[in-house]
Amino acid sequence: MNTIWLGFSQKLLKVDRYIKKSFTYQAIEKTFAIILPFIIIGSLSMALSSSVFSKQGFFNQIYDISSWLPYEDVIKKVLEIINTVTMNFIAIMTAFLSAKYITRSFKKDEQIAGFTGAIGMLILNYNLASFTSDSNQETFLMQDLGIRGIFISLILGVFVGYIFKWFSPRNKQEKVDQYTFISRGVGGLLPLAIVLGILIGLTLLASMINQMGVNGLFYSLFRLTEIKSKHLIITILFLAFFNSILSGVGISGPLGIMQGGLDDTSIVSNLSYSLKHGTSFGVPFPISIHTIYDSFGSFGGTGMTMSLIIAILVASKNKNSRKIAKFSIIPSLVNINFPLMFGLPIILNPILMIPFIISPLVSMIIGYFFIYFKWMPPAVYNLPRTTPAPLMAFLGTNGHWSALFVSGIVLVVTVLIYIPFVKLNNQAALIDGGDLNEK
Amino acid sequence: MKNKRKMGRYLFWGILILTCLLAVIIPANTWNSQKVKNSRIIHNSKLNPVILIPGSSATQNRFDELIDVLNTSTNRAHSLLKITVKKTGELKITGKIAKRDMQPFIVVGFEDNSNGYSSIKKQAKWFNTAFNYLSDKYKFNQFSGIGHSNGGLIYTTFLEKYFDNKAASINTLMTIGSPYNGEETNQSTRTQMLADFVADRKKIPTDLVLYSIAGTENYTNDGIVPYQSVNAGKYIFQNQAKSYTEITVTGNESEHSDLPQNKQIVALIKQYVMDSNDSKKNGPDDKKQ
Repeated sequence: MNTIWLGFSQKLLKVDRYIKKSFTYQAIEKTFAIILPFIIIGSLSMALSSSVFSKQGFFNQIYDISSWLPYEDVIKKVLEIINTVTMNFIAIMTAFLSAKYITRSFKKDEQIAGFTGAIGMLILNYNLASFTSDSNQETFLMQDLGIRGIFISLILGVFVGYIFKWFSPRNKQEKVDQYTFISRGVGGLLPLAIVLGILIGLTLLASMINQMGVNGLFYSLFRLTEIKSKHLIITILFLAFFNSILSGVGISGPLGIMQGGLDDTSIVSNLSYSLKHGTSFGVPFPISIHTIYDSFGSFGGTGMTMSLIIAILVASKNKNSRKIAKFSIIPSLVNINFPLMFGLPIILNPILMIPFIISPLVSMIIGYFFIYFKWMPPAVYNLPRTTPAPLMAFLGTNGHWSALFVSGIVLVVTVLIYIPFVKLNNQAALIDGGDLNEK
Repeated sequence: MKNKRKMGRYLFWGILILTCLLAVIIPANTWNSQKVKNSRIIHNSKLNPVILIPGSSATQNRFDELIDVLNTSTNRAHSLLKITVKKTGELKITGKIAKRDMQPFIVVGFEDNSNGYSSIKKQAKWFNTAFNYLSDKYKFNQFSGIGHSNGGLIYTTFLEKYFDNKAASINTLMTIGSPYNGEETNQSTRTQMLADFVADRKKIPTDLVLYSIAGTENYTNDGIVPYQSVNAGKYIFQNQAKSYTEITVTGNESEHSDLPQNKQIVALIKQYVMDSNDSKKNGPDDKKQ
């Protein structure tokens, strides 16, 4: 067993090393380092405003905060402003930074490339409907300029980098400072024009297919993926697997989109049955995304990242990861895991990717067995979206202690799954030197 | 020595985490089970009150005669609760709902019962206050409505502006001589009120069964309300409510203010609004909570 793990971990370290050596990854890592403070502050304020200071929030409801806290509205507004400015335009920042760093690795004019990337992101999310209808449509598709747009913006950065590599004039002096004003500006002209042309063409093409922009089109692809098995549990496991992999490369939350059609009727009829019979044993749909994935497979967000936080705090000696983990505690209570995704980072990290994919599957299988053998009723009652995930099963079964017990088991098991990989990740960081010094 | 220190630290963190957990789990569980208990009461409630709104210048006693007739002609007498909403939004309540009565009558009248569109809007808001009080206290998930004259307009405003279809569903609404187009006799001139009703018609619940009853003393009106104005209700409800039926009543006692005790209308109420004995015409829809 030990030798198998040793061999496996050596292989993983090699893969990790290989990915981290590539200039694309290095550019992405530098990008993440810079957007991280914005993401941490944005996630914290998002978590607090939605769970504590908004009337539907979990903590607001259980402590009846609205009834005794003065200036609740003002606090909520402040937090929402912070969240909006830090997170809702983050894809533009990401496009700027990734284009900049990739172009830098080609030794071309990184500033012009950066701005080209940012503008490119705006083009891809231009709301073409704002031309046709006279109603007050926004100029840009705002929802895709935030976290949801990051994947596209990274690809855009790479694309812009290559355009600058191929089409900007050779730089003999090698040093940006020695450009004359004019030659620098003129040098950026051709690549900028090419990027503008291609992206506008792409946006117009996408608009012929749907109204949601390039990003929307990209996400609507997932709606087409229809995975259906005779056994619902297999379908759910597969969806979760797929969801973790996509999150792992930086595409956030397609499961939410795919979930829509699958669960609607089951939630309503389960609830109706339980209200009538006073128990959720024997509901018509004991196995659903809600009873399995929401209740057991996403503690702290996709990939059971709450267990990752615990694993780091218990077993990691790496100071940076411990800091990130501490900042992630509050967001993870409301299933927000952006600080971990971009901070450790989990995205494009082959070592952490393995427990990130496995732990939700293991927890869901544990939950499934308990429901299947009727040791625990399935969760059916409506809860606020901001309910901490380990309590979802407990409260969703109207306080069935067995559900809390199973959540506890799931948490312990997944922490144990994460621990060896956290240690391995630290080892990898030591080899790399973990050095992100910007020049 | 070092080990002891370590133990102490573990103990400290263990106690801290346990306290935090309990501080969340206990209130969460209390709050949640209260919520589940409430929704269980609402979901399983067989209570299906008939909520009546009188027209302008009429008080909460407007329907006494109608209810007397209904109670004597059915097997089972239903209890009667009367609410007057004051200008301040305070509720004055008389009468009560008998414990085993599954279809009590509730009349909601207004201290300020003046006529006119602006009053109707105010009265709809007051009615909403009364309705929220009722659904909080009696926890019904379904009800039926009767609105006489402007009472029907108050109902329409309420359904379009305040009603939350998810909390309770309205089975049947019967409006009696309700002038949807004010005093206009010509349907091509729409009053502001009708225009507003039509503009917001999409908010009318799609499972509503609506009966609009028109009285006619002669070929054009019931003495007060023009037939064309009652008939204009079709622009609001047709193709939006589940069904829209217009019934014209003529003959004796078809004068506007006699309508609520008109024998034919009493028969229609019995047939369409009241549950027949114990078997339910509109059983609780399992899809709703």
